[in-house]
Amino acid sequence: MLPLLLIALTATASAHSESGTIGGFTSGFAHPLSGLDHIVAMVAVGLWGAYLGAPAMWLLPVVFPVVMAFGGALGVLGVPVPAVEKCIALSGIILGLAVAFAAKPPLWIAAVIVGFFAIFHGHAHGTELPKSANAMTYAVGFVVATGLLHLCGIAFGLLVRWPWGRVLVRTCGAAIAVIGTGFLFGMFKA
Amino acid sequence: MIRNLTNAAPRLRRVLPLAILFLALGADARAHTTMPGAGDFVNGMLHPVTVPAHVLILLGFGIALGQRKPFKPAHTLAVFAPCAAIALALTVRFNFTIPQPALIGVALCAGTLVAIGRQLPFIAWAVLVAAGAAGMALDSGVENGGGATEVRMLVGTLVGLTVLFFTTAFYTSLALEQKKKWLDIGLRIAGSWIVAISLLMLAFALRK
Repeated sequence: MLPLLLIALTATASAHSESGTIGGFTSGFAHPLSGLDHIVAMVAVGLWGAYLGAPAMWLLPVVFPVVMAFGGALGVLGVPVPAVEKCIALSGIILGLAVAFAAKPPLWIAAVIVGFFAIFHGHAHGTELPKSANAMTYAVGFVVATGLLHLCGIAFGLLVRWPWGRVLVRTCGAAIAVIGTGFLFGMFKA
Repeated sequence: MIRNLTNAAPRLRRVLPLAILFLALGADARAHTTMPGAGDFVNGMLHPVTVPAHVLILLGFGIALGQRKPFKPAHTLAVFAPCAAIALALTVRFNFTIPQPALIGVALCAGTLVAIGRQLPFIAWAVLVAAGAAGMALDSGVENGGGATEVRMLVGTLVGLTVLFFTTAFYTSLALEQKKKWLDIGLRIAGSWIVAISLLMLAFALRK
């Protein structure tokens, strides 16, 4: 199966180009990974989900990609959304602080917070879509990369079952909030 | 947890690469194109995996059917196969243009069902499956063929649609029989990915 998969993935590869099947997939896959502001926010969603436990652990990673795709659709269709970059930076701060302070709001509030910020992340990805990219594979790559970042966060967040792990996860949340602050005040560039 | 993952994963390990393979093959899709060297039947059978919207619908339908309790695929097959067969037969006589947003809308519904993990009453489920089967079949007409070639390709398409749908359902049901919470969660997350990809494809389709 693996050789078949590799053949399928490499069938129409064109080097150093964002066009075509593979160009679309790699472009979409790389996009959420290309900015630290996106990475920390996605990981924070997973961390927070793991901290909140079930059902938040699966609900937040379900809510985020769906709402993010909605934001992405707005971006693709050219619908303007205000203060996108600031809200992305703010997402790092809020989600990071939620992890750092081990915030445990009702599930719907957590889902609304995560969903709200997902719109801005999705919009940024949607507006920055390369014109030549294959739409289908761009969408697949984009969603898969986002999901994998959440899974990384959840896997790391599962350390909360040990006392030392709890400290580590909360420290990680604080670091994410600091990085978000850095982006908000222009100390880091997206 | 790691041991659970290791023990329960074999079937999922078989399904997951297959699903990614279908998506990878579907990525370069141009509807109604044929693969040189392959016969008419095989070309028809591969047609569903070359149309992204069909792949999403079939994966969504398959997982949703696998999630239904009790798992009785025969009832759904009795709706899906005749609807697809009649619609494919109609394409011999008439030319249909199915708007891609309509097909993506069906994929969106199927993905949503998987993500929320709720099962529709059978009548509503049957209507959705019939609409999906008819939509995909009407979208699979053979442009350059005629006679026996066309019939072989359409029969191949019917087999391809049915096999992909019910294989996904069968493996999903087998995976859920393991009674592992993480498998249920994983399938719901897969459903949310189908919804997200469908939403983006809808936006791309509407932008054109």
